[in-house]
Amino acid sequence: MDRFFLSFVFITLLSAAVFAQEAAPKLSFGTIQPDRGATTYPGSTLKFDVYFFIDEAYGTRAAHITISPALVPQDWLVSVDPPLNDVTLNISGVVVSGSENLNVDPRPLLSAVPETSESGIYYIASPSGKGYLQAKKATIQVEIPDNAEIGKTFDLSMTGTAKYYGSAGAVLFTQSRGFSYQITVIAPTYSEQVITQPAANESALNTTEGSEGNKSSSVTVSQNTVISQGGFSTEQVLIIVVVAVVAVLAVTKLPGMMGSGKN
Amino acid sequence: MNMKIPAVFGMVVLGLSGLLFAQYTSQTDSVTFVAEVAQFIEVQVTPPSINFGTLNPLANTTSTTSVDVTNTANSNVDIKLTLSGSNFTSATDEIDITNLRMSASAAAPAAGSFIESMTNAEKACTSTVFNGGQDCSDVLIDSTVNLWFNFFVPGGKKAGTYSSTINIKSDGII
Repeated sequence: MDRFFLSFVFITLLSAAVFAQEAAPKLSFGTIQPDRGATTYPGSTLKFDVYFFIDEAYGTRAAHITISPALVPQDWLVSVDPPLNDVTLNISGVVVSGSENLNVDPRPLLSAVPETSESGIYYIASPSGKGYLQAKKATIQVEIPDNAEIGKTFDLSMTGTAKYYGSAGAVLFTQSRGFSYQITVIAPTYSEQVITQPAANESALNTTEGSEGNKSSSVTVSQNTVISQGGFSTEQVLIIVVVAVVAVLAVTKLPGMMGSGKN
Repeated sequence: MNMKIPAVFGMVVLGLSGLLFAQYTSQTDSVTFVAEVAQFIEVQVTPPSINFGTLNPLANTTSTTSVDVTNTANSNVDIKLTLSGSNFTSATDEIDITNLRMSASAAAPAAGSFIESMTNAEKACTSTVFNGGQDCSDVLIDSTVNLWFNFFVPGGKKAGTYSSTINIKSDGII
């Protein structure tokens, strides 16, 4: 009986060891991009956070991540925090060198945010609803030049690339992801100016359905001048007329009424 | 006469109040609420490499296993894959990456059915490009596409161990 039990334990342990050894490595790359754009002013600085994670259910290897510009408007300055660093790693006894902005280890989904959070780790609910991802943050800083064209929307794109070590073969794999932003540049102070006046022909507006478009005025935010269109609405004109009639009546009739009351 | 002034004053105040009231009641204000939901993408690639074994010149060989690309349950968007690769290099020679072809298929495709070559530049999956029965231009959340590779060794290449790196780029479909 004991011999049978020991054999069973031995076989079980051996199977577990073989399974652990045979489990194919998995390369995972998780990213979270909270922002897709912003509105800003010439001469300002924007910051976009990007988060990186590996759910250990999907990834077994650490990802070494570089973040580089893919599309940047002319004269705009882009930097990444943490900056690119040279690293030397011992991968299963083999020393390799490389560069990375940050590296991300596989971590489990947590059922709740821990009371004591780990430095540099952000706990973000997974869209799966199964728990909290443990992510690291990088910040993309964008400096907009003073002469950036006002009113224009610029495309900015960054690429995050995950490299993995420890594999050998004819074809190795990396993963990458694009982070695209649309940045609209506006004047520092709000202003409004009517460039084209609506058509003045009120009757045409009332009778011609297609003339509705004429009512809209083209407005551009380019100068600090405000030109008021003025005028009263129909309701306001009616009230003014009523008030005027009442006032006239008051001036002409009320003294007599007051006087008769006195008497 | 003394009563006229307060009466007129009162009427003017009443009129102005009416004007103000009319202005407020006739105006329709709208407030636009915009909520941007962050984009989560997690992609799993397994196995991490392919080994074609020892090949003869002019041999045309398909990988024995597929490379499985999964848009995991931690994603909240479908994804489109875009691939690029470096040339195969050995210590003394180089084989152009266009000799590696790829097809997205649930089962191993026949060697003759591989059409699309890999390139150094990014090449995006479409409903026809790299489509061998699976569409890698729209990988749904929590689903997998199987990528098969076929490698041709051109004549005139020196013996050696050649390797290449393939980059799999995943973009959210919004």
